[in-house]
Amino acid sequence: MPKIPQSIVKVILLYAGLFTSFWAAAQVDYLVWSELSVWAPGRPDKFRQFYFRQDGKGQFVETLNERVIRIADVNDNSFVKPLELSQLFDLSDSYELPKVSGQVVEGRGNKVALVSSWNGRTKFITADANFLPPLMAGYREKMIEPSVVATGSFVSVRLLPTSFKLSSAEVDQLPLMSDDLVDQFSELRDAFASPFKFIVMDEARWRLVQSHLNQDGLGVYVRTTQRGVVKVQFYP
Amino acid sequence: MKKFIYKTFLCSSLLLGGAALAGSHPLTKVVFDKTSGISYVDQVVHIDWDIDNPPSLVIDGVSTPLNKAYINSIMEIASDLLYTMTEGRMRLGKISVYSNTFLDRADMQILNKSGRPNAHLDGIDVLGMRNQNFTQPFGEPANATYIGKTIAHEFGHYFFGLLDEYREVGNFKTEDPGSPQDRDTPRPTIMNSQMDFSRFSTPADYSDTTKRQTAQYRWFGRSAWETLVADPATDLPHTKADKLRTWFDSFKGMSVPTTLAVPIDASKSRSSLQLTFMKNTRVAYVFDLNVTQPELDGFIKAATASINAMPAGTIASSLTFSGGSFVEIGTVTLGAGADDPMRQVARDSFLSHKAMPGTGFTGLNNALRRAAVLVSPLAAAQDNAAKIGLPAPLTTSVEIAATPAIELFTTTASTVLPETQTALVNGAVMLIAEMLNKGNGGNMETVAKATRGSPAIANSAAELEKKVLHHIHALNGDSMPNIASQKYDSFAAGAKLEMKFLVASKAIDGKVVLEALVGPNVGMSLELKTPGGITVNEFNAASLGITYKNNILENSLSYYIPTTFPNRTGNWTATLSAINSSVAPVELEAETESKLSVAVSIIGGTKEDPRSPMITAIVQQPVIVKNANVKVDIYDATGMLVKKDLVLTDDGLGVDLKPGDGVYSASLEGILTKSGDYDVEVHVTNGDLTAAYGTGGALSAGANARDVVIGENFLREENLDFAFFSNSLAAQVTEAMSGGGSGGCTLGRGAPFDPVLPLLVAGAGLYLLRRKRPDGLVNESSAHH
Repeated sequence: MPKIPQSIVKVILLYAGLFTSFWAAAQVDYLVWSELSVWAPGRPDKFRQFYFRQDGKGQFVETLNERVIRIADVNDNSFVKPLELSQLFDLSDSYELPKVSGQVVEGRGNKVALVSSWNGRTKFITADANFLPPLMAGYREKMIEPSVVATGSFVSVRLLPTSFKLSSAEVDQLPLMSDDLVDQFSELRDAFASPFKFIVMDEARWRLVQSHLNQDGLGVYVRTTQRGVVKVQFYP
Repeated sequence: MKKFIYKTFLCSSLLLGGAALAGSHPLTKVVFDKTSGISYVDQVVHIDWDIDNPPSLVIDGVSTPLNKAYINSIMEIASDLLYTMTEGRMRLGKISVYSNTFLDRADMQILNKSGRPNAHLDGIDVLGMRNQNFTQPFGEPANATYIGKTIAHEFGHYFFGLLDEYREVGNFKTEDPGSPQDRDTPRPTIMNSQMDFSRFSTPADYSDTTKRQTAQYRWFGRSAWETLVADPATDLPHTKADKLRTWFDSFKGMSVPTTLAVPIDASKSRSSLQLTFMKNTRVAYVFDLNVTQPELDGFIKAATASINAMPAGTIASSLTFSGGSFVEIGTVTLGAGADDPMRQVARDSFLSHKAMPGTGFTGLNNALRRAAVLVSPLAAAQDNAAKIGLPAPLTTSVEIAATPAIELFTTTASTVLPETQTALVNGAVMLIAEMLNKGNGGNMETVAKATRGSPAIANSAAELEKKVLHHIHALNGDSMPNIASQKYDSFAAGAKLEMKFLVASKAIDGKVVLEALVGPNVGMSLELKTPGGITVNEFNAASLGITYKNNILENSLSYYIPTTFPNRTGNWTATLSAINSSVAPVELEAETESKLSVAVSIIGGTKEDPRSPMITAIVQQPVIVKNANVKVDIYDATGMLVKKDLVLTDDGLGVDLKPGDGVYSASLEGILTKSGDYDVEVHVTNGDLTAAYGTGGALSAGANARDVVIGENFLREENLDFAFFSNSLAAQVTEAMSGGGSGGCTLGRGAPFDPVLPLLVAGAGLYLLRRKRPDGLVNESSAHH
């Protein structure tokens, strides 16, 4: 029997992983629109996120200092059509102003971060809120914020844009979130299946995850076997 | 060519035992007291409102006037934190607050508007750099405590070059290690949150290898305290790409503290704080009698024009020198109006001067030192101490409430001793050197720049008079940038001399002054044509809401166009009609009350700095202006065009350091081929409407606020004289300039010479050679439309 080349073995394993793991369910196209309002050291950290899926399911979340204050799940087909998603791939990755050498500007202006997953491709766009290209500005006009007060705690898996680059040494220092670990927690499974979506998770169970990872803090950067480095964020 | 950011420090021993530093303004200093080990930091502050008629803001639900008490509280809080975060080794000293003036010459700006605080890294000793703060940071009115603490955080950047230790949620740009990022692990320090902490980080803050993600650690590879005490030469190579970090004497020879033990102690931290709200100017007019009588007459006319134009309240002294001696004439306080008797006293005293050619200029040293004593209480205190052998007093030993300045009328041949320059710098005296061109033998241009004053070189007495009038803005810290100008060396009887100029909306251009400097020419009249085609003359101006002045004493005709003039925005035409043929050059110029200005610098091309010459122009408002069109025309000393429309770029290519930072640059290598005096005339336009205001961005922290596209055309014009030394073309960057040794200087940058080369002209700037038209006569605007 001929020996199978190692590279092919890796490809087989990769696809096997895709179909057997939590990633398999993540093939639904989606669009995530996040707004990070102006912030400075000592000032509140405000965040809003609109999550739309091709199957009509969606979610709105608002956080203050990394605590969820409003959340609402929707099933009203308010999803942005795939055709429009494809248009996003023609945009640049950044609509931000360049920085000035040798000058420090404090805090963060109003920002928009957009993530689009379409036909297996993922697009990240970061923009200054008042510097949006017309297509993105048009998306924003379609969004409605439901008024629902949140209760409970949540977890979310955040995929990282291409601007996030770590050296191999830095990656090696990150804790590994193995498939086995994910499989132990249905919340993590759901979160990995729907990146960016907020999934209900009990704080005690999050502490268990932290204990497995030997980490503290609400946000954890972890290595995964399928998606490289991701951020897993817990919202108490 | 590798681009350096020039550090305009001065290093001069004080009897106190330390050294002084100069920044953007003569009152900016850091003085090290060797006995106590404490460094006292004197800062100049600009506020953009009238402190005597302050506006109010609703802060924390309470209507709060932005008055002197408000500013005082801000500075007290900032001083408290500076004291604590440096373990008592640095304190604020003399804080000189200018209300609505000296915008571009201030270390600190406090602007009554919304904005994001920002600071230049390690900018304290760099001309034109600043620590910018807002009464409504991030859109919300803030109390004095918040602003004071934020200023202290900015000191971390502006004084020490340290980077942030906070986390910026949502920033995933790992390629920018000097910026806070989402993955960061904030440290409990003032460079994280100034509202919660008052100390710099120590090695203990970074002992956990998993908690080393901060901009500070990524950039320097060590904590803030390890950075402060370390010789900048030992910093990581990438941190030294542009310049060496300032190394303060108070931190030299110090071990990294392991225990931070100095709490906030107002009695100590505020002990040297001296807050002064600046009023008026004390100016000494110093005349070189070692010239011909016609030249002296030119000096006298120029000084007379200056006296006439200085505001009421100015304290003016007069001295002359010839040979090895000087004479002190007297001092008056100017009242209001040209008929003020004190102005007449001054004018009469000028007229009594007699030329004494051939006597030499060695008396200039004593004349300048005496003038310094007259205008600066600090210089006087230092002089008194020296006479009796006592150490130089701290700068806070006396209060300086009026800007100390000397206006010197001499020639480019004049030279003073280094001790004289030191006395002027240590005494916080600004030297304005008005010089007739007698070659490159003297050093007054260098001395003037060292004092943060302005040199001007003229080829005739008439030209000098015009330049002097423009130095009035520099003396008083006014922001009156030029829109356009045009000079005519000669004209025939019946000539009509036209200049077109664009007036932008009131959002950019405030009151516009159109002035004709007619000199001794008689029979001149001036008309305007508005964008709507209305002709404005001396007879109908008042009825149209425009003020007309025929200032006989200044030999000028002027129109003052208010922002309220209907349909003001657009192209105007000024027409100067001559009944008689010319006996002297005339000039038309338009200037405006505006914060949108241009600061022009020449770097390199001198004996002291032999690098290939380059030109930079910073366009600012005071936030930087990006994407403008910037071109320069270069003329030699004879007025001949050397290079036209040289484009200055902000693209980060060639000699331009970074794209989009509002600093436009071009190399002059190959353009300047002969030693001599040159004049650059910089034109800034926005014809394609691409220019935009930005709060700037960060090498090291934060994301940018949105660019605000300006959306309309505007014009700015700025000139700069400079002397070029052609041997520099063959020279390369010297080891001394790129080396790390700081020698005996408090703020060693590696260069052993005084690199006071960038000359900030900004809005108040220099008035220099205006180019003669090829035909000498008609119908060409210097403005670019």
